[in-house]
Amino acid sequence: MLTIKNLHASIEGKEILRGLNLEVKPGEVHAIMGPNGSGKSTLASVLAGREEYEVTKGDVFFNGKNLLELAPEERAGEGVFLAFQYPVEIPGVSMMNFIKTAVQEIREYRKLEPLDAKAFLALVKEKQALVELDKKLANRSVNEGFSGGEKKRNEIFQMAMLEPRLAVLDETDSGLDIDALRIVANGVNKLRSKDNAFLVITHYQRLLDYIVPDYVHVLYKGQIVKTGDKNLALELEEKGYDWIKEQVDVLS
Amino acid sequence: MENTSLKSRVEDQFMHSVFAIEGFEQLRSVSKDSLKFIKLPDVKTEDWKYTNLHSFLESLNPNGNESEIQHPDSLRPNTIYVHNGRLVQSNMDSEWIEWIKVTSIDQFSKLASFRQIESLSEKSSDYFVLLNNASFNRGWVIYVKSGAPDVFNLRIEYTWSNPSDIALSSRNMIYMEAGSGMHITETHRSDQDESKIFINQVTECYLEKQSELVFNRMQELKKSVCALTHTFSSVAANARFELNNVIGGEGIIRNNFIMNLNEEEAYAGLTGLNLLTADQHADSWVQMNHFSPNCSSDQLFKSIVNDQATAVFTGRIYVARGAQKTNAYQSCRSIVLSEEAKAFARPQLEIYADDVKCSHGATTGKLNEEAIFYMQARGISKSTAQRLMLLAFASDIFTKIHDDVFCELVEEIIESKFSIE
Repeated sequence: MLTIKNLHASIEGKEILRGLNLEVKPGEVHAIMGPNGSGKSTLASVLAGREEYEVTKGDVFFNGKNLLELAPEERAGEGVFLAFQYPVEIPGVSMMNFIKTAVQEIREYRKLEPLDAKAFLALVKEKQALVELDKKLANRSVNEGFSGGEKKRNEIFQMAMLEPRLAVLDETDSGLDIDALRIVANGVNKLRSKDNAFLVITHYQRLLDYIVPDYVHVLYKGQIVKTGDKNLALELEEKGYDWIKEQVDVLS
Repeated sequence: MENTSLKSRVEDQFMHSVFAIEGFEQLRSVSKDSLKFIKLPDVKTEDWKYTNLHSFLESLNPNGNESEIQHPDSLRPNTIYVHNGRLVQSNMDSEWIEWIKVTSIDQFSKLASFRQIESLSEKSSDYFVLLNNASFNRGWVIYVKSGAPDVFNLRIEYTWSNPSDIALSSRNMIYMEAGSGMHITETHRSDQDESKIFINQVTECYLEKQSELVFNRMQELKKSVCALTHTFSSVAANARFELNNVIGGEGIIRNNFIMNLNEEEAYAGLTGLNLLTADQHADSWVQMNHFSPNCSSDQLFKSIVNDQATAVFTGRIYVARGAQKTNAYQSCRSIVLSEEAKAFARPQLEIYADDVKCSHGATTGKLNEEAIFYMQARGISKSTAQRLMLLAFASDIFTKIHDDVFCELVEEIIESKFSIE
């Protein structure tokens, strides 16, 4: 589904990703962990198509298409979804209008008939229940005045509405209390299927208690330096990153 | 010296087809005298710092010919039609004729009640207002009687076109009897761009006690038209005046708003939405006068400026000595979409009372790129994202307009003027 080969990316001339390789297959959940500044959020941004990041080398293929050649909205159309670390407030644009526009434009991209009003509302209702999102939030402007937890739940709500093939969760656990974390994780787990995949970027092992990954990768200095199963996350929680840093730094 | 010659040329152009209109004899002669002592404003004049009319005025070459009045193809109910400032036709439903009188300005003296009021434009020291006083030869008068069963909805459709260059002064008056109500939707359109039109228009609105006037105006003119408008209002006790002005189109526009809150509990609301592209220039100038205690006013001006366009806002709140418990608010917000677009804001407060609430704020910025990326990441195209953001920016103006059809027109202008890619 997703193939990243020797990916190099920089921002403002500073190289952050330095030869990253990753293969994600349908049905898999991959966790990306790593110390601050290792390039986790850069990876998420590059996959979603944020303009400030320049890809200097390497390829990213998504279901056979060269992802790097596509505009952000086309990537979303292809089925890439980024749950933002810091969801953006958009005053004056109502949540309903926003999600409706997104659903319809993505359906158009996928050459599907637009949803009629009734089907759309039914879908909203179903997905709101999935992430226990307060119905009143739909009448507000996008993320405006939402609490931290509401913003993150709103990300998962949008993910549920747009039915992506690959969802990248960029530190979705940051700023969440334990109840909100459980709700978000439950939402993700209900959306897991054999056809879609998740890339879960996180600092802490905590989230992985709820969203159990098939693979755990450690990102350091812009490369994946270690890959294991969920036990690797537990080991990192216990020992920190220093032992990995040492291994890598000795080798280089 | 060049200025002097341009001044006399401008005055000749306006004065050449003046005729006497009963009721305005004194206004005309006094203003004509005053004109001699006032210079044609230029960019050194503080209130004209950002708007230069000279090049347009210099290029204007009227030959005195004016086209026949153009009659509308079809008539809509409760609509008046105005061509080049002249009242062409007034099409009122019979049930309203008893309550609403519409005449052309030269029939002014037939509406006797006007005779008692002091002209708002008489005390002005603005060059172009005085020029208008001295030279207007067209326009309309609307008189709204009290006791009508409902608020009257009136449309005023302006068209501007002439085969040769023309400079014209038009004068309009609205008189609202105590307790009367009216909603006006006024649209200005020009359908040609070969010859130039310089418009100098004065509109005076007199609101008696407890009357309510909502005035929505849209200016969609071609580049060949330069419009200079002055809207005066006098608002009596418990009366409400709301003016919402939208600028689309092209060309140079200068709108002056002079609002007088003369008696207690009077309210004036003024909004401007400037949708500017290419080398368009729109200058809004406001004088909000709180002459009595317990009055409130609210100004909200928003501009979206692209290409090489310029938006200018000068808004002065004046609170007279003794006008205690005044509430006066002003806000000016601009979005600039290109490197060369400009937005100027000059909020001014002049307060001579000590128990008032006044505020002003001005911001200028770009569209939030993070928000656009967020929408793109949800599959929304960049152009749709930008459109949603611009409509959101204008949304608080929509809530003040009270007219769905007018709001749709505004949305269409936003969509057509700022569609990208």
